[in-house]
Amino acid sequence: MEKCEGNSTLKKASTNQFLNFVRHTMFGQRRHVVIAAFVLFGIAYSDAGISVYPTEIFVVSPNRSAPLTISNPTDSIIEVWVSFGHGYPVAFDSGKVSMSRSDTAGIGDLTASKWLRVYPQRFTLGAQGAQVIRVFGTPPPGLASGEYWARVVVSSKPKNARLAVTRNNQTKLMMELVSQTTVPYHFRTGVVSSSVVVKQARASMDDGYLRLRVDLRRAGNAAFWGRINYKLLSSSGKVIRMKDYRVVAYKEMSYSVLDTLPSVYEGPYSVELIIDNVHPSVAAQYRISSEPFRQRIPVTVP
Amino acid sequence: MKTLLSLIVVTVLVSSMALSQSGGSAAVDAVFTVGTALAIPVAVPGDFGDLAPGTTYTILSDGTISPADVNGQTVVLPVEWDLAGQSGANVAITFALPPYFTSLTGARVPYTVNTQSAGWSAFAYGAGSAYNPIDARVENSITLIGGTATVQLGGILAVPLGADGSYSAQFVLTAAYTGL
Repeated sequence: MEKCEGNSTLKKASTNQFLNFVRHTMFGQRRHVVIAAFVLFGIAYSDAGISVYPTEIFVVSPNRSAPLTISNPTDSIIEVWVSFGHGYPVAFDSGKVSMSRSDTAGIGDLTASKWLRVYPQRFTLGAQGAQVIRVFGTPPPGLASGEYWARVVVSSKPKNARLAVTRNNQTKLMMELVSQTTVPYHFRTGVVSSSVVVKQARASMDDGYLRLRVDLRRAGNAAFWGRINYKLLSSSGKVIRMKDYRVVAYKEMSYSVLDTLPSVYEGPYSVELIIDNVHPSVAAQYRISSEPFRQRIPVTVP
Repeated sequence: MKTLLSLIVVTVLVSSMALSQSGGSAAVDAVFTVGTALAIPVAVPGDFGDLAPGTTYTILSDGTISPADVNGQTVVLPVEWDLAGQSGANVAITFALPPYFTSLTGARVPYTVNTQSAGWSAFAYGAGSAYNPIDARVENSITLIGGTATVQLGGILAVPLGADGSYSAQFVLTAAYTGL
C-alpha cells in the first residue's frame, strides 16, 4: 500500500519518479551520472539555490542605503528572506581561516546590525528570477567615527514541499534544504583609517616549495582590504617568481602560503613582500589610503 | 565569462543609479564593487533510500550506505550543494544540521554526522578531481578551484523500531567569501 504526504505538484512527483527510474534502471546507482543526466536533459532538480551580488557592501556617510541583487539560479520557485548578523574572517595560529560569527558584536566591535533594515525582507522568486532589495541604515545620532560592520544573511528554501512516497514497514526521509550566503556590510562615518602592522613574516624554501607565513594586525578604525604581493629574487636581483594573494584583516590575521617553485639552484635568495590596499574586489573609491608595507626576507635553498 | 557578466551587471546598475540621481537628491547610493557573485546554483536533497526499522545506517559523503537499504541498494544519493563564484576564492561553509527527522505524528529518527559524512570536490562530474573530507560539525574553508565546488553530505541514521512512513528535516548550508 502506498502512502502519500505533502502538498507538492504533479510535476515534482514526475521528477521524483524520473529520478528513481534513472537511478535504479538506466545508470545503476552512481550519483554523478544521475545528476549529469539531469543537466544533460535540462531537468532542474534543485530545491533551493541563491546568488547574491555584490560580494561586499561599503556605504560611506551621509549615504544610507545600498542595493543588493538576489537571483534564483534554479528552475524552482523559492522563498527568500534576509536577516543580519555579525562576523568577520579570523585566522588561528594554524593559518586556517574561518568566520567568526555571532548574532551580536564582540567586545570592541562596532556593529551596524542593530540599526540595519532591508526592504523587502521576505519574498518569493520565480524560476530564474531576480529581485533588487535595499539595505538601509538608520545609525543613531552622534555616532563615533569609524567603520561599523554587519553581515547580510540571505536565505532561500523551496516554496513547495516535496512529495514523500513510502511503503509499509519502510522509512523514507525527506529533506528541506536551506541555502544561505552572507555578504559583509561596512558603514563608514567620520574619519576612517586602515593599515596593517606586520608582527612577523617568515619565509623558507625546501623540497620545491616556498613557505611564507605572515602574521599581521590591523591598525586604524576600519577593516583592511588589500593584497600581499611577494617576489622571489635571486642573489643578483632577478625576479624568479611573483604572486599576489588577497588579504582581509578585521582584527588579527595569519596567512600561510605554500607555493610550488621552479627548479632553483642551492644558494641565497630573498623574498620581497609588499602589502598594499589594492584588493581586487574592492572598487578604488572604497580603498582607504595607506602606505604599503615592504620587507625583504633572506632565504637559502639548502 | 563570469567576470564579463559581472562587469555588464555593474555597468547596467551604475547607469541606472546615475539615471535615478537625475532628480537632484544629494544622497546617492553606494556604488557596487567589482567581483563575482557567490552563488549556490544547485541544492539537491538527498535520497537516503528505503530504510528498515531497528537499523542504524551509515551514509558516507559519496553516498555509500551501510548496511544496504531494504532494496539492496549500497549507494544512495547524498545531499548536495554546488557553489560557484570567483575562481581561486576561499569560501567558509557552515552546516546547520537537524538532530533528528520528524514525522507528522512527532515520531523521530535520530541523525548525526561524523568525520566521514561530508566532503567537497572542485567539480562533481570531473574525473580525477581531488575529494576533500570535511567535518560537518565545524566550520570549513573550501576553495573554488576553477570557480566551482561541490559539497556532499551523508550521515548516520538510527531508525528506531516501529518507525514507519515519511520523516522530514531541514538542512542549512551557509557559504561566505572570506575575502581571500
